[in-house]
Amino acid sequence: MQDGGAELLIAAAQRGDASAMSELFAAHRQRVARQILRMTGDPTSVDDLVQEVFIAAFTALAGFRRDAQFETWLHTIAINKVRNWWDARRRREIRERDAIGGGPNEAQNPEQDALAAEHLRRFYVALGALPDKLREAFTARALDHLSLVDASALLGVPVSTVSYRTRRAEELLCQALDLPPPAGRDAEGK
Amino acid sequence: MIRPDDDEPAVRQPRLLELVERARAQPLPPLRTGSDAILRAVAQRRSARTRAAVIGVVLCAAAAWVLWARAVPTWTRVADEAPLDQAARALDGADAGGEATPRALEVTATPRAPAPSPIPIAPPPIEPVDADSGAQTPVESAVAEPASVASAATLAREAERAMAERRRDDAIGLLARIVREHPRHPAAKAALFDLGRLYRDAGRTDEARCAYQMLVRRWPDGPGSDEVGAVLGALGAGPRCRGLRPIRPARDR
Repeated sequence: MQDGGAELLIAAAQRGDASAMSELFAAHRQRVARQILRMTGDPTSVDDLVQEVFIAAFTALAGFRRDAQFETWLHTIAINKVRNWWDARRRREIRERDAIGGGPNEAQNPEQDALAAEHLRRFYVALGALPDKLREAFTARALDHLSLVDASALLGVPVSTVSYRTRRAEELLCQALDLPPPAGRDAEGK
Repeated sequence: MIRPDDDEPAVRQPRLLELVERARAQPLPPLRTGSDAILRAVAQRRSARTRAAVIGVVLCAAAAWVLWARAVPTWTRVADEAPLDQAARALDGADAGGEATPRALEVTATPRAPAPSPIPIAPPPIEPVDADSGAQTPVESAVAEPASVASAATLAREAERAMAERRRDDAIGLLARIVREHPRHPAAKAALFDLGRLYRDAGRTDEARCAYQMLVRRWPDGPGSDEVGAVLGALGAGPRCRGLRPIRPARDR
């Protein structure tokens, strides 16, 4: 449930009030942008995705039920947009790989030769290779620091499912990044 | 499934956790997107949706109109034909019964608004009694009750198909059914025109003459009556007709 001011703002935006929409955008865009950056790891795509998220949100605003959290609703839209973004990126990488006949793209920018940047790049490559559901659970829990309960509400699945998907995603990421498996796997029922 | 602890860590692998923290610490790039661009895009999307909805409604309305336009004339014709078909059947029954004396036909019809028809329908005159033959009715050829009474439109369509496929005998049979089963229907007038032409093409001039004579009797002032009169003049005199059938002398039968 929103607080009173936010609820009035959303109600005005639902009636088509442009200034209310602008206020909503200003209030939420940084948080949405940060979520998108964490989910994608690609600063160049953040602007476009933020725009897509808010266009989709304002277009569908009439259907938003005010008993839900507006932030959570926006986050859900962002997750869907990022999911599409990962799909498109995978397809583009496959096309490029087919076109040049080589392996995965190596860093083109000398700045990315720095070890830290390279590790981060590899991390996002591995994250992008995860199945959507595992990636979204891991992103919500690890990158967005949501609690199990909040991630469960966001993703619309039980807490135990979020937990399992996060752990499974962690295992797969460790494999992809040549890291030792995480400790405490024995406690997990697959 | 074991119930997870609410405070279970999201990442347990320390080096992966480092990467995750580095990912979380990425500096946010400056956002160029402004609310104006978003509001414009939202307005465009809404107007596109509205246009699509309007187009959808228009298309649905057009489809409904086309269906209605195709269905309603059929219903109207069926409704129009109902009392007339009763009359035709009554006449058929009189003929089949072989009554020798003329008798009046009483048809009771409930009043209703006339249905719009592209072809003006003149009230058919009462057929004169053929004193020589003893025929009494205008639809003398309707001696046999058809297995099923098809609508005039259906028969006309089948007749047109038969004519297009050069099945002349079939076409003649179907056109004769229209004249017999739907004597007052506008399709009967066209059927008589076609019957006359088909009979002439087949060299059956006496039957052609009968068709044209029936046409002139029923629609004396209709469009094309002059041409029909001219054709009748060209066909010349011939035997008298009982409906569509020429009455030949006994030795010819």
